[in-house]
Amino acid sequence: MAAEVIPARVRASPRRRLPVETIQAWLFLLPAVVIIGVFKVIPAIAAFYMSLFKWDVIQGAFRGLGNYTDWLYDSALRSPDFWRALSTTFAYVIFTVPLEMAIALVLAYLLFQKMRARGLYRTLYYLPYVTSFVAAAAVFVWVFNPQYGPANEVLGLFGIGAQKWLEEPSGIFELAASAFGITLPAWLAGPSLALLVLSLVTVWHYLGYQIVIFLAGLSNISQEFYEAARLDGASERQIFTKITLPLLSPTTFFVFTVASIGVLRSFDSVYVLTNGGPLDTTRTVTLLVFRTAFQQAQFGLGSALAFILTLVILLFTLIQFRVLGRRVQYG
Amino acid sequence: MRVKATILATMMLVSAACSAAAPAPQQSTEADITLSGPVSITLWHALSGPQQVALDAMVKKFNETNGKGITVTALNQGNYTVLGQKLMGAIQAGSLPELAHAYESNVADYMKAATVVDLGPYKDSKTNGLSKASQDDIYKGYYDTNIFPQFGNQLLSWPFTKSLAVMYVNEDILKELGKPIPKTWDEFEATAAAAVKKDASGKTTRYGFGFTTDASYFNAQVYSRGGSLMAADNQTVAWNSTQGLQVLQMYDRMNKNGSGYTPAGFDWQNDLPGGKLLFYFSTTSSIPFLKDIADKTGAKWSIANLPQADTAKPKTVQFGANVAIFKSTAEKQLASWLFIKWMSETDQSAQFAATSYYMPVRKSSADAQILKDYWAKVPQGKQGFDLIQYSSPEPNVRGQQDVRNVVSDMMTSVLAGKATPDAAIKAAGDKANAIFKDNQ
Repeated sequence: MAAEVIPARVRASPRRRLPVETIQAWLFLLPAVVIIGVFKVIPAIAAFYMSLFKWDVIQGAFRGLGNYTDWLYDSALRSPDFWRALSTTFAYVIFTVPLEMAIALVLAYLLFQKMRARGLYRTLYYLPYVTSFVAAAAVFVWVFNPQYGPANEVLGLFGIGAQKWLEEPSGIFELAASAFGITLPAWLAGPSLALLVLSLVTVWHYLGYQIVIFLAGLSNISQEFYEAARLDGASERQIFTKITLPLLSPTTFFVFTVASIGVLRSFDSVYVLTNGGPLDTTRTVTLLVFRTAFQQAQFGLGSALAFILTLVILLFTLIQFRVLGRRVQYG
Repeated sequence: MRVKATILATMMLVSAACSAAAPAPQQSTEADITLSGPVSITLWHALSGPQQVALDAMVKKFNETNGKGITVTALNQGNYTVLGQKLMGAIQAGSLPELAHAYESNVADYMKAATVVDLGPYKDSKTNGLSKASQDDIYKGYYDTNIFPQFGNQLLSWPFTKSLAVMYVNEDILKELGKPIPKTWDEFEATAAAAVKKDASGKTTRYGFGFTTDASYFNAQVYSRGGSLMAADNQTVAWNSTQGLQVLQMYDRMNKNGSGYTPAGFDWQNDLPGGKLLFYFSTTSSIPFLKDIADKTGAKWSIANLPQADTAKPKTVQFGANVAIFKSTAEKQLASWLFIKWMSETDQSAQFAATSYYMPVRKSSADAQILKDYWAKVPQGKQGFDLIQYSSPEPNVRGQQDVRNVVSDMMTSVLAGKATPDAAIKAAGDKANAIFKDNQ
């Protein structure tokens, strides 16, 4: 009897300790866990750790939340930069996201209709998204060159004077008012023309991606709704506003959230087009993080700012969920 | 502690994967030893294109001829900004290369971690140093910039890829105007204004001056007007003075009267030899780029010093990067020193200058045949060389890199009409002083 019991235990115990399925599962997960762990989780923990110290090239004294309060209100040198960068970042979001979504929705709706060469148009609109932003930026820098760029030549055709575009620190309202001989006070000047151009280039780049998401959303809407509406005599406009838009709202909400987060944390587009200039009018929070950590070697302050930005994004997304999430109709 | 250990271990792993392996820094000031066997050292630099080719050729020659078993590996790490960032990472991970190409402000950052070797004992070493005559042969400005008052006047780097701020002139336009190269600032402004041309629609087709908002050229103009950049205590700026204000006022006047414009990027390198621009301030390192275009357009151009307040005491800014040695083993430090010493000897300095377009660091290099041959082909190289004696370094205190952005924004704000010269210089001076204070 004993001889029968022991092998049974031997058979059972390894299964309990090393179940093959569990090992397999971990092995399948391993590449992702290692990659995410090494490149995302550990650096994030390291950055948080650094954010608690004076880390000026090398680790210094423990500061607790000192680096955070320096950015928020404590340091006359840092805090104005932070608030300015935050307002620039939100101006960038406001310029970019609604415009991007409106154009993407209209184009997606058109591309969803039965038309000739639909595939070709869909590919064309998607092309900017697969183009390297850095390569495209070189072209846009030329397009908006104040001396030789085609943008000014086009304006010239309409009798409008040459603009400095990406090198223009003046606010757009200020520029518009000055065309009519009105001088606006500084607080009414508005975000710089450089930021507006940056937003337009960003819209151009991400449009294709959003069109694809909207197309997917449109194809999820059952044709029965449209047929029923048409039988009831609904106009095309009514169909769009009463059926398409409400039923597309989960997609719209998703695009809005993802696009907002994307713009809030974008770096490469600003870095290659303006590098924060002119006169810091396009210095978003991510560029301020970069300057602080990698150009001023203040790794503690830079890490703290990165965490502040993370919290801002989290808060902004939560507000989006609270305010807009409820209005989303899920079929 | 466990978190800290994990962080450090990860950083070291990532860094080890990205960089050439090097031993952990060790303290050594042994400058008089002799090498006991073969030594391999690594140089991280920011040279690319023809300049990288020139450096690689020098390194190959050194490896083949040094006779002491020293092997140098020169690795390009991207531009200066990226190089600086990689070295910051290497400091965190404790895996620095033996040598790195660096600007003064970078060296000041690396010294925060006390990783840079004081070259004073090496330079004066009886066995491995330079004679007094040899030391005096190196241009004083190129040498002085490597002495860091913030770190006890130690010699923390060595002249490497040097250049200076000069004025590029389109000689054809000057000839058409019947005017000489301006010597004073008043002559400069008048000549630039006379050069302006407009087409029938009123659009300017030729400018007298191209504004640059790079801080070095503001500094060069402050020097040329007789001003200083730092106060005597090296803790506050001195450019927020009459001379600095004069620079901004001149920019403002020339912007408003239409004799100057701000070229985008490197457009001036087309505009000047293209006959659309008379004067531009830039580094002597721009010579090959300008020559390429001028050879195509057939334009005549030259290099001159910036106009001066006191023509008897001319002054401009010297710049260009240096090379620093990081603390490693006594043998590797010595091997590194022997390499940079060799690079700065008369023949090598002349050869590197003739192939890389940088300036030689020694006066005696002017007699080298290779440089004479180069100057016969590119006389502007000699025009730049003759001005080295008037060049002085910019501040090498920590925070200067940031202050450069403040100075650049100050000029931009005047040109964009965002501030008057008085208000701009006041605000910029205050901000710069706050930055220096924060970096102490």
